[in-house]
Amino acid sequence: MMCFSISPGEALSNLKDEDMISAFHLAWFLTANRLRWPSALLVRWGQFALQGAVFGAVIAQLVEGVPHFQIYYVVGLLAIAIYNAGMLAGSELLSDAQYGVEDYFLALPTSRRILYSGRILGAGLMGLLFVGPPALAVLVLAGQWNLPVALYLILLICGISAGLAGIGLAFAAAFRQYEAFLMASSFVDAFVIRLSAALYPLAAMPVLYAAVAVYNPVSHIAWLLQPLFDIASPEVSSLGSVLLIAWIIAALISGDLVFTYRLEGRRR
Amino acid sequence: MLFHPRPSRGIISLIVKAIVEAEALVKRYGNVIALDGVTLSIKEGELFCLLGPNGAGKSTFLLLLCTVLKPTSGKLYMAGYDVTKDSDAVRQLVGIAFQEPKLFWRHTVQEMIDFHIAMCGLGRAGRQRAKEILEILELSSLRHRRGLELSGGQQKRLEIARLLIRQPRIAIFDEPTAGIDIHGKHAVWHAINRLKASGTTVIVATNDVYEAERLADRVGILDKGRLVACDSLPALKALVPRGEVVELALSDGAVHQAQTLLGESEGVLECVMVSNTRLRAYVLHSSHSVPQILERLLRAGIEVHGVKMVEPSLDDVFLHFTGRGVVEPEG
Repeated sequence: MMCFSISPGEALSNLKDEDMISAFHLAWFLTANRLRWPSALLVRWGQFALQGAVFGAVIAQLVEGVPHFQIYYVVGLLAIAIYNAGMLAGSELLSDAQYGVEDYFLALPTSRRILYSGRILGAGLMGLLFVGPPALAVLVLAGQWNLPVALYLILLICGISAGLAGIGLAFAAAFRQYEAFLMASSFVDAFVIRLSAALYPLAAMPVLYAAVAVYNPVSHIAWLLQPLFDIASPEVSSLGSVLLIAWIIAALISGDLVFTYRLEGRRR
Repeated sequence: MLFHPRPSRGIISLIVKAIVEAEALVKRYGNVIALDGVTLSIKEGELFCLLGPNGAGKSTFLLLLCTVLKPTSGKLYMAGYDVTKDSDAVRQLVGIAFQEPKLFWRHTVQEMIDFHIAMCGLGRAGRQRAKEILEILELSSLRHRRGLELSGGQQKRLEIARLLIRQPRIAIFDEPTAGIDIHGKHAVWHAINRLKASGTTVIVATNDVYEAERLADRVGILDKGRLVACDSLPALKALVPRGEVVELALSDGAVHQAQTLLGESEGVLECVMVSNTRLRAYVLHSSHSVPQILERLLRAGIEVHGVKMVEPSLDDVFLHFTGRGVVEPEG
């Protein structure tokens, strides 16, 4: 067996400076793909606007005890959209696998971790594309527009979308088949979204549901966003932020583990 | 210079070593065995052709080499690196042009090339080489077309261009000329030969016997996941223990009957069905055997449309080792 003077470990350490650049290239390439299809973006924004304007207005007439419930509701929709943008990274991965282009990525001279990082960053940009414009529009409509708040909002959207993308990628790498992923993620989404306090205050939820919702990442995303839209949120606490950060770290680590060690050896 | 020669490693470069070593390599997809105990080695700098019909396991072997798949069992080393344990290091050495082009439909040709150059860390030299390769493969005028606007042949050439631009130490082509017109085939073969001349080890999987004969230093024949032969072309041809080859053109449906009939004839060593209308007979002395063959066939009512003597080729090597043609007879 022949041996070369550079060990794999050394070869990798030589590459590290370029690794993040590669991840950014991949993230931008994946995002550019979305930008080439503006009608899909417009449809998403349109659906959001319709849901917030029509359903939000109707439900606000029915709900008593929560001031400006339409804004509360729309901010909840934003929280759900951020979570969905993170999960979308998983379906994008499987869609790429189905069309064969994932094989191209897997054969590139980069580590699996760089591919994973690129997809995570891509999810952040995707979150920005999907949720950023509606979120800024809501900020204007709620009369809360100012530049620092807008920038903070954008940062939150990107960061949380990217952070939660680990869940989507872990699911995708674990299930490997598009249909299986859709079934599993729809099942999980159904609980995560409905058992969150994004669309209704925690105090209004039955005790059992509220006990679950308090640990739900979507609840914490909503609670983090609410003050930016001048919604008094009794649930906001530093513990909540810690919990959300813990969720993000857990999502990223589990995504990395499943993606790196399972995808590479996947059966086709 | 299009393909830049690799720097010599002094006296070490004089010793030709194996850059690919597979030992009892197995790949299973569930209950299906795609590769069944393949053992082979490929020397640095050689052009190795993997020949086999569709479903023989060629693509699976190539995907293992470039770490897209992992072996079920066995060992596979690329330049001394274990593909399972050191896959990151292996990917630094290996590049592949896939059988089915892996393109992005909404990106332009130029964007796909730019992305490839960036991800492979090729820099300015890569951009310069890209210009030349796109010119050679007649893709320059298509730089602003999106993936979905390219024809099948253009997509295939773009897939090959990406590998040529990268110029890795080990370049893998999976059926590089499938779906490309004859003019394009010659351009691709020329580019592959120049890549080899620059010092790159080239591995080509094909089911085109002519392509293998034209390109290969050595040929490996893969059949149903097993490597049934592996050597240089002259050595493989020498292994075929036959005198002369007679090819008969028959009516559709008469080949099986003729094969049975001639298989029992004196002077006929072996009869192999090449297609639904072509039968190949291996005879000791054609001057004696051909009249006897024709007489037997005509007596049995089998219409013979043509007879020709052919030189033993790689096709015959394949027939010898597998008992059938590279392209499976229909039905």
